[in-house]
Amino acid sequence: MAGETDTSDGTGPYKGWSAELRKSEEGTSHRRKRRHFARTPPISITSLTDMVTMLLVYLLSTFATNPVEVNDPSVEVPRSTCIPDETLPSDELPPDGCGKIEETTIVMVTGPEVKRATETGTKIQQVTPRILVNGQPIAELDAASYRVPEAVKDPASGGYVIMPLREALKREKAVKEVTAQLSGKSFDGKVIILADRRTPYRVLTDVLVTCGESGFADFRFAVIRPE
Amino acid sequence: MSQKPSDRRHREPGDEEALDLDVTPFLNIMFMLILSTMTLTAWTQLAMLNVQAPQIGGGNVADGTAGADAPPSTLNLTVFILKDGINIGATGATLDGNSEGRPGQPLIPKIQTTQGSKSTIGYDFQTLQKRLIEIKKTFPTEQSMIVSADADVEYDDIVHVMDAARKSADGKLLFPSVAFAAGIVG
Repeated sequence: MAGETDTSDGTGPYKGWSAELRKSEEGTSHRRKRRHFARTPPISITSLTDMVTMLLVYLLSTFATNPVEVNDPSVEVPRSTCIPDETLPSDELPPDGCGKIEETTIVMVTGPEVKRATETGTKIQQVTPRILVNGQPIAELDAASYRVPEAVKDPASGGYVIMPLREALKREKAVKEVTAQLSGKSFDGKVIILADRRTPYRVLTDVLVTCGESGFADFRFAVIRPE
Repeated sequence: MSQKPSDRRHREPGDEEALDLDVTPFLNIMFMLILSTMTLTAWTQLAMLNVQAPQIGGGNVADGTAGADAPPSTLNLTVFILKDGINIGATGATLDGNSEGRPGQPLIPKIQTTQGSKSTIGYDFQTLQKRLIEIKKTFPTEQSMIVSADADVEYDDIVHVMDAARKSADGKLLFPSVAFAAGIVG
Protein backbone atom coordinates (compact mmCIF):
# COMPACT_ATOMS: atom_id res chain seq x y z
CA MET A 1 0.00 0.00 0.00
CA ALA A 2 2.79 2.37 0.94
CA GLY A 3 4.49 1.90 -2.43
CA GLU A 4 1.31 2.77 -4.29
CA THR A 5 0.53 5.94 -2.45
CA ASP A 6 3.93 7.47 -3.10
CA THR A 7 3.65 7.53 -6.86
CA SER A 8 1.22 8.95 -9.32
CA ASP A 9 0.78 8.28 -13.00
CA GLY A 10 -1.04 11.55 -13.50
CA THR A 11 -4.31 9.96 -14.53
CA GLY A 12 -6.18 10.16 -11.30
CA PRO A 13 -6.04 12.24 -8.17
CA TYR A 14 -2.64 12.56 -6.62
CA LYS A 15 -2.24 9.85 -4.00
CA GLY A 16 0.97 11.14 -2.54
CA TRP A 17 -0.63 13.27 0.14
CA SER A 18 -0.46 12.10 3.67
CA ALA A 19 -3.60 10.77 5.27
CA GLU A 20 -3.86 13.91 7.35
CA LEU A 21 -3.83 16.25 4.43
CA ARG A 22 -6.35 14.18 2.53
CA LYS A 23 -8.64 14.14 5.48
CA SER A 24 -8.39 17.89 5.88
CA GLU A 25 -9.11 18.33 2.21
CA GLU A 26 -12.15 16.13 2.29
CA GLY A 27 -13.36 18.11 5.22
CA THR A 28 -13.34 21.43 3.44
CA SER A 29 -16.46 22.48 1.68
CA HIS A 30 -14.83 24.96 -0.70
CA ARG A 31 -15.35 23.53 -4.12
CA ARG A 32 -12.55 25.21 -6.04
CA LYS A 33 -9.96 24.35 -3.47
CA ARG A 34 -10.85 20.68 -3.56
CA ARG A 35 -10.62 20.56 -7.35
CA HIS A 36 -7.22 22.20 -7.19
CA PHE A 37 -5.92 19.63 -4.77
CA ALA A 38 -7.40 16.71 -6.64
CA ARG A 39 -5.76 17.59 -9.95
CA THR A 40 -2.32 18.77 -8.89
CA PRO A 41 0.09 17.58 -11.63
CA PRO A 42 2.80 15.25 -10.34
CA ILE A 43 5.69 17.22 -11.91
CA SER A 44 6.03 20.62 -13.52
CA ILE A 45 6.97 20.25 -17.17
CA THR A 46 7.33 23.99 -17.88
CA SER A 47 11.09 23.96 -17.32
CA LEU A 48 11.41 20.85 -19.43
CA THR A 49 9.54 22.58 -22.27
CA ASP A 50 11.85 25.60 -21.94
CA MET A 51 14.93 23.41 -22.17
CA VAL A 52 13.62 21.46 -25.14
CA THR A 53 12.76 24.67 -26.99
CA MET A 54 16.24 26.09 -26.44
CA LEU A 55 17.86 22.84 -27.59
CA LEU A 56 15.69 22.87 -30.69
CA VAL A 57 16.56 26.46 -31.55
CA TYR A 58 20.27 25.73 -31.12
CA LEU A 59 20.12 22.60 -33.27
CA LEU A 60 18.10 24.30 -35.99
CA SER A 61 20.51 27.23 -36.18
CA THR A 62 23.57 24.97 -36.50
CA PHE A 63 21.68 22.95 -39.08
CA ALA A 64 20.75 26.04 -41.09
CA THR A 65 24.25 27.58 -41.10
CA ASN A 66 25.93 24.41 -42.38
CA PRO A 67 26.69 25.56 -45.93
CA VAL A 68 27.33 22.27 -47.66
CA GLU A 69 24.85 19.47 -47.72
CA VAL A 70 25.38 16.11 -49.31
CA ASN A 71 21.93 15.37 -50.64
CA ASP A 72 22.74 12.74 -53.21
CA PRO A 73 22.45 9.19 -51.84
CA SER A 74 25.21 7.82 -54.07
CA VAL A 75 27.93 10.15 -52.78
CA GLU A 76 30.24 8.72 -50.14
CA VAL A 77 32.62 11.50 -49.15
CA PRO A 78 36.11 10.18 -48.24
CA ARG A 79 37.26 10.25 -44.65
CA SER A 80 40.31 12.29 -43.75
CA THR A 81 42.41 13.04 -40.70
CA CYS A 82 41.92 16.76 -41.42
CA ILE A 83 40.86 18.76 -38.35
CA PRO A 84 40.45 22.45 -39.22
CA ASP A 85 41.86 25.10 -36.92
CA GLU A 86 38.70 26.81 -35.66
CA THR A 87 40.58 29.84 -34.36
CA LEU A 88 41.94 30.80 -37.76
CA PRO A 89 40.10 33.65 -39.51
CA SER A 90 38.22 32.44 -42.55
CA ASP A 91 40.02 34.70 -45.02
CA GLU A 92 43.42 33.31 -44.11
CA LEU A 93 44.93 30.27 -45.79
CA PRO A 94 45.57 27.51 -43.24
CA PRO A 95 49.24 26.46 -43.14
CA ASP A 96 48.42 22.78 -43.19
CA GLY A 97 45.96 23.14 -46.08
CA CYS A 98 43.09 21.97 -43.94
CA GLY A 99 40.27 24.49 -43.71
CA LYS A 100 36.72 24.92 -42.53
CA ILE A 101 33.89 24.31 -44.91
CA GLU A 102 32.41 27.48 -46.39
CA GLU A 103 29.75 28.43 -48.85
CA THR A 104 30.93 28.67 -52.44
CA THR A 105 30.56 26.97 -55.81
CA ILE A 106 30.27 23.21 -55.48
CA VAL A 107 31.21 20.73 -58.19
CA MET A 108 29.89 17.34 -57.24
CA VAL A 109 30.87 14.00 -58.75
CA THR A 110 28.40 11.31 -57.71
CA GLY A 111 29.13 7.66 -57.19
CA PRO A 112 28.36 4.51 -59.15
CA GLU A 113 25.91 2.88 -56.76
CA VAL A 114 23.23 3.64 -54.21
CA LYS A 115 23.01 1.47 -51.11
CA ARG A 116 19.59 1.05 -49.61
CA ALA A 117 18.78 -0.85 -46.46
CA THR A 118 15.81 -3.14 -47.02
CA GLU A 119 14.22 -5.89 -44.95
CA THR A 120 16.27 -8.56 -46.72
CA GLY A 121 19.57 -6.75 -46.30
CA THR A 122 21.44 -4.01 -48.11
CA LYS A 123 20.28 -3.55 -51.66
CA ILE A 124 22.78 -2.06 -54.10
CA GLN A 125 21.44 -0.27 -57.11
CA GLN A 126 23.72 0.77 -59.96
CA VAL A 127 23.41 4.38 -61.07
CA THR A 128 25.25 6.43 -63.65
CA PRO A 129 27.79 8.77 -62.04
CA ARG A 130 27.10 12.40 -62.86
CA ILE A 131 28.79 15.76 -62.55
CA LEU A 132 26.73 18.49 -60.91
CA VAL A 133 27.39 22.19 -60.36
CA ASN A 134 25.51 23.58 -57.35
CA GLY A 135 23.06 20.71 -57.57
CA GLN A 136 22.33 21.10 -61.29
CA PRO A 137 23.23 18.03 -63.40
CA ILE A 138 25.82 18.97 -66.02
CA ALA A 139 27.23 15.81 -67.52
CA GLU A 140 26.98 12.05 -67.15
CA LEU A 141 29.97 9.75 -66.94
CA ASP A 142 30.23 6.54 -68.88
CA ALA A 143 29.05 3.92 -66.40
CA ALA A 144 30.94 1.00 -67.96
CA SER A 145 34.40 2.58 -68.13
CA TYR A 146 33.83 5.09 -65.29
CA ARG A 147 35.30 7.92 -67.36
CA VAL A 148 34.08 11.19 -68.82
CA PRO A 149 32.90 10.33 -72.36
CA GLU A 150 35.27 11.60 -75.04
CA ALA A 151 32.29 13.15 -76.88
CA VAL A 152 31.83 15.89 -74.26
CA LYS A 153 35.53 16.71 -74.00
CA ASP A 154 37.27 19.51 -75.84
CA PRO A 155 39.89 17.91 -78.14
CA ALA A 156 41.81 21.20 -78.32
CA SER A 157 42.66 20.90 -74.61
CA GLY A 158 44.40 17.56 -75.01
CA GLY A 159 41.29 15.66 -73.93
CA TYR A 160 40.99 17.11 -70.44
CA VAL A 161 38.40 19.89 -70.52
CA ILE A 162 34.79 18.78 -70.08
CA MET A 163 32.83 21.17 -72.32
CA PRO A 164 29.42 21.23 -70.53
CA LEU A 165 31.18 21.73 -67.19
CA ARG A 166 33.22 24.59 -68.62
CA GLU A 167 30.05 26.30 -69.90
CA ALA A 168 28.32 25.88 -66.55
CA LEU A 169 31.33 27.20 -64.62
CA LYS A 170 31.65 30.21 -66.93
CA ARG A 171 28.02 31.11 -66.22
CA GLU A 172 28.65 30.57 -62.51
CA LYS A 173 31.73 32.77 -62.67
CA ALA A 174 29.75 35.61 -64.30
CA VAL A 175 27.21 35.44 -61.46
CA LYS A 176 29.92 35.25 -58.80
CA GLU A 177 31.77 38.21 -60.28
CA VAL A 178 28.66 40.39 -60.13
CA THR A 179 27.89 39.41 -56.52
CA ALA A 180 31.52 39.93 -55.53
CA GLN A 181 31.50 43.37 -57.13
CA LEU A 182 28.30 44.31 -55.31
CA SER A 183 29.83 43.38 -51.96
CA GLY A 184 33.06 45.19 -52.78
CA LYS A 185 35.28 42.13 -53.06
CA SER A 186 37.07 40.56 -55.96
CA PHE A 187 36.22 37.16 -57.38
CA ASP A 188 38.27 34.55 -55.50
CA GLY A 189 37.83 31.51 -57.75
CA LYS A 190 37.07 29.15 -54.88
CA VAL A 191 35.45 25.85 -55.73
CA ILE A 192 34.62 22.85 -53.58
CA ILE A 193 35.06 19.44 -55.19
CA LEU A 194 32.64 17.06 -53.54
CA ALA A 195 33.38 13.68 -55.06
CA ASP A 196 32.49 10.12 -54.27
CA ARG A 197 35.35 8.13 -52.78
CA ARG A 198 35.46 5.70 -55.72
CA THR A 199 35.93 8.41 -58.34
CA PRO A 200 38.97 7.50 -60.50
CA TYR A 201 41.94 9.84 -60.68
CA ARG A 202 41.37 10.42 -64.40
CA VAL A 203 37.88 11.87 -63.81
CA LEU A 204 39.24 13.96 -60.95
CA THR A 205 41.98 15.52 -63.08
CA ASP A 206 39.46 16.23 -65.87
CA VAL A 207 37.28 18.10 -63.37
CA LEU A 208 40.24 19.95 -61.85
CA VAL A 209 41.63 21.03 -65.23
CA THR A 210 38.18 22.22 -66.35
CA CYS A 211 37.70 24.21 -63.15
CA GLY A 212 41.16 25.76 -63.54
CA GLU A 213 40.50 26.73 -67.13
CA SER A 214 37.13 28.27 -66.27
CA GLY A 215 38.74 30.56 -63.69
CA PHE A 216 38.08 28.52 -60.55
CA ALA A 217 41.66 27.80 -59.51
CA ASP A 218 41.34 27.63 -55.73
CA PHE A 219 40.28 24.02 -55.26
CA ARG A 220 39.09 22.47 -52.07
CA PHE A 221 38.27 18.82 -51.53
CA ALA A 222 35.34 18.19 -49.24
CA VAL A 223 36.15 15.39 -46.80
CA ILE A 224 34.60 13.97 -43.65
CA ARG A 225 36.56 15.10 -40.64
CA PRO A 226 37.24 12.75 -37.73
CA GLU A 227 34.79 12.90 -34.83
CA MET B 1 -15.46 16.21 -13.53
CA SER B 2 -15.16 19.80 -14.68
CA GLN B 3 -16.82 18.81 -17.93
CA LYS B 4 -20.18 18.44 -16.28
CA PRO B 5 -22.64 21.13 -17.39
CA SER B 6 -23.41 21.91 -13.80
CA ASP B 7 -19.72 22.68 -13.27
CA ARG B 8 -19.32 24.72 -16.39
CA ARG B 9 -22.00 27.10 -15.32
CA HIS B 10 -19.95 28.18 -12.36
CA ARG B 11 -16.84 28.98 -14.37
CA GLU B 12 -15.73 32.58 -14.28
CA PRO B 13 -12.96 34.47 -16.14
CA GLY B 14 -9.51 34.09 -14.54
CA ASP B 15 -10.32 30.66 -13.23
CA GLU B 16 -7.16 28.52 -12.83
CA GLU B 17 -8.85 25.96 -15.07
CA ALA B 18 -7.09 27.76 -17.97
CA LEU B 19 -3.78 26.32 -16.73
CA ASP B 20 -4.85 22.84 -17.76
CA LEU B 21 -3.36 23.24 -21.27
CA ASP B 22 -2.19 19.88 -22.52
CA VAL B 23 1.42 20.30 -23.73
CA THR B 24 2.10 16.60 -24.35
CA PRO B 25 1.60 16.68 -28.19
CA PHE B 26 3.70 19.84 -28.36
CA LEU B 27 6.51 18.11 -26.47
CA ASN B 28 6.19 15.08 -28.76
CA ILE B 29 6.69 17.26 -31.81
CA MET B 30 9.67 18.98 -30.16
CA PHE B 31 11.41 15.72 -29.39
CA MET B 32 10.80 14.43 -32.91
CA LEU B 33 12.26 17.63 -34.39
CA ILE B 34 15.31 17.38 -32.14
CA LEU B 35 15.88 13.76 -33.12
CA SER B 36 15.57 14.49 -36.84
CA THR B 37 17.89 17.53 -36.75
CA MET B 38 20.44 15.59 -34.72
CA THR B 39 20.53 12.67 -37.15
CA LEU B 40 20.74 15.03 -40.13
CA THR B 41 23.52 17.24 -38.77
CA ALA B 42 25.69 14.27 -37.78
CA TRP B 43 26.25 13.56 -41.47
CA THR B 44 27.58 16.93 -42.43
CA GLN B 45 30.75 17.14 -40.37
CA LEU B 46 32.78 18.21 -43.37
CA ALA B 47 36.15 19.87 -43.73
CA MET B 48 38.11 21.04 -46.73
CA LEU B 49 41.52 20.15 -48.10
CA ASN B 50 43.15 22.94 -50.06
CA VAL B 51 44.69 21.87 -53.34
CA GLN B 52 46.99 23.67 -55.74
CA ALA B 53 46.20 23.87 -59.43
CA PRO B 54 47.14 20.84 -61.53
CA GLN B 55 50.02 21.01 -63.96
CA ILE B 56 50.22 19.79 -67.51
CA GLY B 57 53.73 19.39 -68.87
CA GLY B 58 55.16 21.66 -66.19
CA GLY B 59 52.98 24.65 -67.09
CA ASN B 60 50.33 25.98 -64.76
CA VAL B 61 46.92 25.74 -66.39
CA ALA B 62 45.08 27.97 -64.00
CA ASP B 63 45.07 31.71 -64.22
CA GLY B 64 44.29 32.03 -60.53
CA THR B 65 46.76 33.13 -57.92
CA ALA B 66 46.39 30.16 -55.61
CA GLY B 67 49.78 28.95 -54.45
CA ALA B 68 51.59 31.96 -55.86
CA ASP B 69 52.94 32.81 -52.42
CA ALA B 70 54.42 29.34 -51.96
CA PRO B 71 58.23 29.29 -52.25
CA PRO B 72 59.52 28.00 -55.57
CA SER B 73 60.18 24.31 -55.35
CA THR B 74 63.54 22.91 -56.36
CA LEU B 75 63.00 19.41 -55.07
CA ASN B 76 59.88 18.67 -57.16
CA LEU B 77 58.89 15.92 -54.79
CA THR B 78 56.43 13.70 -56.59
CA VAL B 79 54.41 10.82 -55.22
CA PHE B 80 53.35 8.34 -57.88
CA ILE B 81 50.38 6.21 -56.92
CA LEU B 82 50.50 3.10 -59.10
CA LYS B 83 48.12 0.18 -59.28
CA ASP B 84 50.35 -1.98 -57.07
CA GLY B 85 52.00 0.52 -54.79
CA ILE B 86 53.57 3.94 -54.34
CA ASN B 87 56.81 5.40 -55.73
CA ILE B 88 58.47 8.64 -54.64
CA GLY B 89 60.31 10.81 -57.14
CA ALA B 90 62.22 14.07 -57.09
CA THR B 91 64.32 16.13 -59.49
CA GLY B 92 66.68 13.73 -61.18
CA ALA B 93 65.79 10.56 -59.35
CA THR B 94 62.94 8.20 -58.63
CA LEU B 95 62.87 5.91 -55.66
CA ASP B 96 61.28 2.62 -56.62
CA GLY B 97 61.81 -1.09 -56.12
CA ASN B 98 65.00 -1.04 -58.18
CA SER B 99 66.77 1.20 -55.68
CA GLU B 100 65.71 -1.13 -52.89
CA GLY B 101 66.92 -4.30 -54.57
CA ARG B 102 63.42 -5.36 -55.61
CA PRO B 103 63.39 -4.77 -59.37
CA GLY B 104 60.03 -4.41 -61.05
CA GLN B 105 58.25 -3.56 -57.81
CA PRO B 106 57.15 -0.21 -56.44
CA LEU B 107 58.94 1.42 -53.52
CA ILE B 108 56.06 0.92 -51.12
CA PRO B 109 54.02 -2.11 -52.19
CA LYS B 110 50.39 -2.58 -51.20
CA ILE B 111 49.90 -4.41 -47.94
CA GLN B 112 47.21 -6.64 -46.56
CA THR B 113 45.37 -5.32 -43.53
CA THR B 114 43.05 -7.41 -41.44
CA GLN B 115 40.17 -5.88 -39.59
CA GLY B 116 38.28 -8.52 -37.70
CA SER B 117 37.34 -11.22 -40.19
CA LYS B 118 37.71 -8.92 -43.19
CA SER B 119 41.08 -8.52 -44.85
CA THR B 120 41.71 -5.95 -47.54
CA ILE B 121 44.68 -5.10 -49.72
CA GLY B 122 45.47 -1.41 -49.72
CA TYR B 123 48.20 1.15 -49.94
CA ASP B 124 50.71 1.38 -47.09
CA PHE B 125 50.23 4.97 -45.99
CA GLN B 126 52.23 4.57 -42.77
CA THR B 127 55.40 3.55 -44.63
CA LEU B 128 54.79 6.42 -47.05
CA GLN B 129 54.64 8.83 -44.15
CA LYS B 130 57.89 7.42 -42.68
CA ARG B 131 59.61 7.98 -46.02
CA LEU B 132 58.24 11.52 -46.25
CA ILE B 133 59.47 12.32 -42.72
CA GLU B 134 62.97 11.21 -43.78
CA ILE B 135 62.80 13.44 -46.85
CA LYS B 136 61.52 16.35 -44.77
CA LYS B 137 64.58 15.99 -42.48
CA THR B 138 66.88 16.41 -45.49
CA PHE B 139 64.85 19.27 -47.03
CA PRO B 140 63.29 21.12 -44.08
CA THR B 141 62.13 24.13 -46.10
CA GLU B 142 60.21 22.17 -48.72
CA GLN B 143 56.44 22.59 -48.53
CA SER B 144 55.07 21.32 -51.80
CA MET B 145 54.42 17.93 -53.22
CA ILE B 146 53.03 16.75 -56.53
CA VAL B 147 50.69 13.80 -56.67
CA SER B 148 50.49 11.77 -59.83
CA ALA B 149 48.41 8.67 -60.05
CA ASP B 150 47.29 5.87 -62.29
CA ALA B 151 44.02 6.62 -64.07
CA ASP B 152 42.09 4.07 -62.01
CA VAL B 153 43.31 5.08 -58.55
CA GLU B 154 40.37 5.97 -56.33
CA TYR B 155 39.80 9.43 -54.90
CA ASP B 156 39.74 7.90 -51.42
CA ASP B 157 43.39 6.76 -51.74
CA ILE B 158 44.41 10.19 -53.03
CA VAL B 159 42.87 11.85 -49.98
CA HIS B 160 44.72 9.38 -47.75
CA VAL B 161 48.03 10.18 -49.49
CA MET B 162 47.32 13.87 -48.84
CA ASP B 163 46.60 13.04 -45.20
CA ALA B 164 49.89 11.17 -44.89
CA ALA B 165 51.78 14.04 -46.51
CA ARG B 166 50.17 16.82 -44.48
CA LYS B 167 51.18 16.13 -40.91
CA SER B 168 53.26 13.60 -39.04
CA ALA B 169 51.85 11.95 -35.94
CA ASP B 170 53.57 14.47 -33.65
CA GLY B 171 51.91 17.38 -35.43
CA LYS B 172 54.83 18.55 -37.59
CA LEU B 173 53.94 19.78 -41.05
CA LEU B 174 55.44 17.67 -43.81
CA PHE B 175 54.39 18.66 -47.34
CA PRO B 176 50.96 20.29 -46.97
CA SER B 177 50.93 22.09 -50.30
CA VAL B 178 49.72 19.41 -52.68
CA ALA B 179 49.35 19.84 -56.44
CA PHE B 180 48.13 17.33 -58.96
CA ALA B 181 49.84 16.31 -62.14
CA ALA B 182 47.31 15.66 -64.84
CA GLY B 183 49.70 13.36 -66.67
CA ILE B 184 48.88 9.76 -66.03
CA VAL B 185 51.65 7.44 -64.97
CA GLY B 186 51.83 4.10 -66.73
